[in-house]
Amino acid sequence: MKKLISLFSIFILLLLLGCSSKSEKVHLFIYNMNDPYIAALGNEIMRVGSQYFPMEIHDAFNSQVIQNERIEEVMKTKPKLLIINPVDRLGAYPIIEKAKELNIPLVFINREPLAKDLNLYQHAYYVGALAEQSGILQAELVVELFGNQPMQLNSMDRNQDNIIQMIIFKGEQGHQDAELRSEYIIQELENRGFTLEILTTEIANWNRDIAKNRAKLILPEYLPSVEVIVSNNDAMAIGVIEAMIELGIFIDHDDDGIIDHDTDTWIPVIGIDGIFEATQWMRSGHLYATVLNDAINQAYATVALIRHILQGIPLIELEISLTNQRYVWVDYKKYTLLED
Amino acid sequence: MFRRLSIKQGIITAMMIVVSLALTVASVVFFVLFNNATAEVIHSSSREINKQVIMNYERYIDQVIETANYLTRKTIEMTEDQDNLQLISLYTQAAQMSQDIETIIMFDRFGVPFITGDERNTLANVSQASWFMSAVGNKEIFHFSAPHPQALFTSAILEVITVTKSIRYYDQGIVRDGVLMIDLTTENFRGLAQKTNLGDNGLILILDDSSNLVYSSRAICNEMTCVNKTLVDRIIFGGQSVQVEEDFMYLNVNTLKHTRWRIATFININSIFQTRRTMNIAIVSIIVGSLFLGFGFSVVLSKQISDPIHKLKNHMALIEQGDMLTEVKVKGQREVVALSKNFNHMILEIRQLLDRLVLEQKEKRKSEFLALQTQINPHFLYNTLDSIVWLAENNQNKEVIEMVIALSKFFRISISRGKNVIRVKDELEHAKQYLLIQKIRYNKKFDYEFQIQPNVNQFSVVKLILQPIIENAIHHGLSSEFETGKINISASTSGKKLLFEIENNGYGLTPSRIQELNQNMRSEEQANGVGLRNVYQRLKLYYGEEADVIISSEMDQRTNITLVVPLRKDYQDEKIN
Repeated sequence: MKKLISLFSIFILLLLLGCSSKSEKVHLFIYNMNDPYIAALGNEIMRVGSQYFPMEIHDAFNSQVIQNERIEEVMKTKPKLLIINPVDRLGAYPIIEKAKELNIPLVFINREPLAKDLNLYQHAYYVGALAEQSGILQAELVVELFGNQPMQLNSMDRNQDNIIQMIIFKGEQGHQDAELRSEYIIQELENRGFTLEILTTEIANWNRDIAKNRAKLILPEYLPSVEVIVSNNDAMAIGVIEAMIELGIFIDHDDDGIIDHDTDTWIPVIGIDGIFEATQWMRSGHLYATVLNDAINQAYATVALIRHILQGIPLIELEISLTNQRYVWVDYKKYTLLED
Repeated sequence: MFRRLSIKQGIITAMMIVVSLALTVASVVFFVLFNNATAEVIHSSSREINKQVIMNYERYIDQVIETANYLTRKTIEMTEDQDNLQLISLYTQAAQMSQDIETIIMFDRFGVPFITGDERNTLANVSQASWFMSAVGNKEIFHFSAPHPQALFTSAILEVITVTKSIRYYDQGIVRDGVLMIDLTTENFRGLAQKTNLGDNGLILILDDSSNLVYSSRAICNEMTCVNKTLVDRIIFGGQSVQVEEDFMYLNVNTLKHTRWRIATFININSIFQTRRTMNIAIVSIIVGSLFLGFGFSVVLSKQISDPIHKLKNHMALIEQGDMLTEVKVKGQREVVALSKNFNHMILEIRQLLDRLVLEQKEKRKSEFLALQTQINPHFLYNTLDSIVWLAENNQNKEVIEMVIALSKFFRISISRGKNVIRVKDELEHAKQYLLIQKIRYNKKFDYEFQIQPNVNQFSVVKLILQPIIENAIHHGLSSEFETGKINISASTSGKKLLFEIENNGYGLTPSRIQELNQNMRSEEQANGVGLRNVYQRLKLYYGEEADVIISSEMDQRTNITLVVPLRKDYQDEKIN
């Protein structure tokens, strides 16, 4: 009888305990898995991170409200650490304050919260790339395309006026990366002594379909003069390429399914990110080049930082050293098949 | 486990354990499930409302952002083309197109209007206004001010929210930084709060990134007085149930996109809480009620089971004390009733056996008694008759007469018409007649004396108890040839006892002889000292423990036999049946 009673009470206890088991997970919050670059980055972090700690990924479907809700729920389970790719980078400060209160380390990725917000909490970090750098590298790709000589452009300067006629496809207006990428490509080209004519800057909100629609609308007008199209990301670049195919701008003279830059008719398109699809479009010759926002390297850098935080290893031993005790800057790389 | 408890306690304990365990488990499960369910309902429904509110505000804000982004792009394009007039009309159009936009102006970096969509003249310098300075301070983001009276124009006293953002434009071919300012009317902004049903005392608060109150849907709630605000500050963001004064509210704190504002909705959930509370009270009362009911039932049940057994047990105790007459009447379970029936039957048998035993004992005592009583007579009669013959031969007629009369009286009392118990007076008379006869027979060799308390005469006593003792006194106490013996007989009361003392002045008895006599007297076997034993046995048979015979003696002085009998007046029906 006594045995029965004690067994019974143990059973009840287990039931109660079972309800409140502690989460030892690292949670990854992605702003929108429909964004191919972010999806690649998120999956890579999951793949690399899962080798070291249990992980869970949460998609916010581009809604800060949903992301807040998920973060709030996860915070109640005493997570080890949160990796956050915020929907609205301006809205990160309540999350940081809350995490500080609960003493949960935070690693923001890809979308950088305001510095004054990050500074609220000792254990708030940011892993990302400097958008300026991507603009500069994109400018270098343009420079190489036009033959490196500012005063004597090569045959890519179709009208031979020594001015580069350029169209920019821009991400979200006011988005830090969009602004910086658009700004620095221009600035870098001008710094190197090139003369530019921006035919138009189209805002396409990072989105392939919007870019495609805008391109179909405006390209016929600019087709005679445009010499290069640069995009703030690959998704929009691919949207533009799709529009160009539909408009019949690419002409594959030898019908080999590949746009040969020496013999076929084409207009160079340059993206940023280096997503999987971009590689395919480069192989087919439609995409001239892109700037690799190295998802793999960023994932490794993120996981390395997390391991150091969780295992208490001094952050000074990180391969990529911390800037201002909280920033990990992963370098962009120029990415083109021509150099292979 | 329950072995040390009584049946009743055992049953109650077991029942209570089972009942309370079952109840506790059931109610805990129910309580948890119910509370979780209501919490979930509160949680999800308030979140939906909160989302709706946020969506409404974000739509309001998005529209401004879109306009601002469009104007930002157009501004740099058109100023580069020096199309400023067209840009002004664009600004004006944009301001007129949206219901919420009141004024759109672009200032240069010194706070002087560069492009304006409003015909009115602005008041002097705005470069010190906080909205202007914050836009210059952080060029990347939009800045939203708290609702404030529009102070741009002298004519308008209108409440607006000022949205600013750093902007680039060409001024005579040179890129410059300016500030784009859009004033939003707050009419719709305020209207959004009213549209949402938040229940009694429901509230929407908007706070900026320094936790300053930007907006409150109810005027009562301002920076200083609002309890709600401290709650928002405490939870930072997220949702939870809170109590605001008398009201239970669900508080949701969320961010508003683009603004760096936090929006807090307080949704009244009193009714759900009330239901939950009522439910919880109901659960608790059901538990308590069931416990009491369970206790009551188990008491009744255990009483029904254990009471008959108790009754039986008590009855057995009664029997142990000697009461065999009352029958035990037990109602209850079949088993116990059968048990008690058997028990009654058994007691009846025992009683009958006992009655028979008592009857047999009585018979035995009676025959013993009578046998003892009849042991007295023969020799005395022969001796007396011999003495009378002897006296008659000596012509001592007077003595003959005395003797015959005495003998006659003696026997009359001896027989007493068959009674066994007679008056003390008669018993004493019997002794006197005997002494009279013996004195004559022994030729006046002894004297005797009676000392009788007058009150003793009214009591009764078993007959023929003095004569055998006196006989002994004469035989054993007066053997000296030379001395005149003396026999004192006294009758008195002492407490509830009647005492007869027969004392002679013979040689007396040694203590060992007294002991021997005492033993003989009490022994069942026939032995020496027939008279003493006879008297003793009869007294015991008749009076039981209340009667006694005490022998005492001083050597060569006296021997005293005291008969102790209880004071009784039962001479009317003294006949032993």
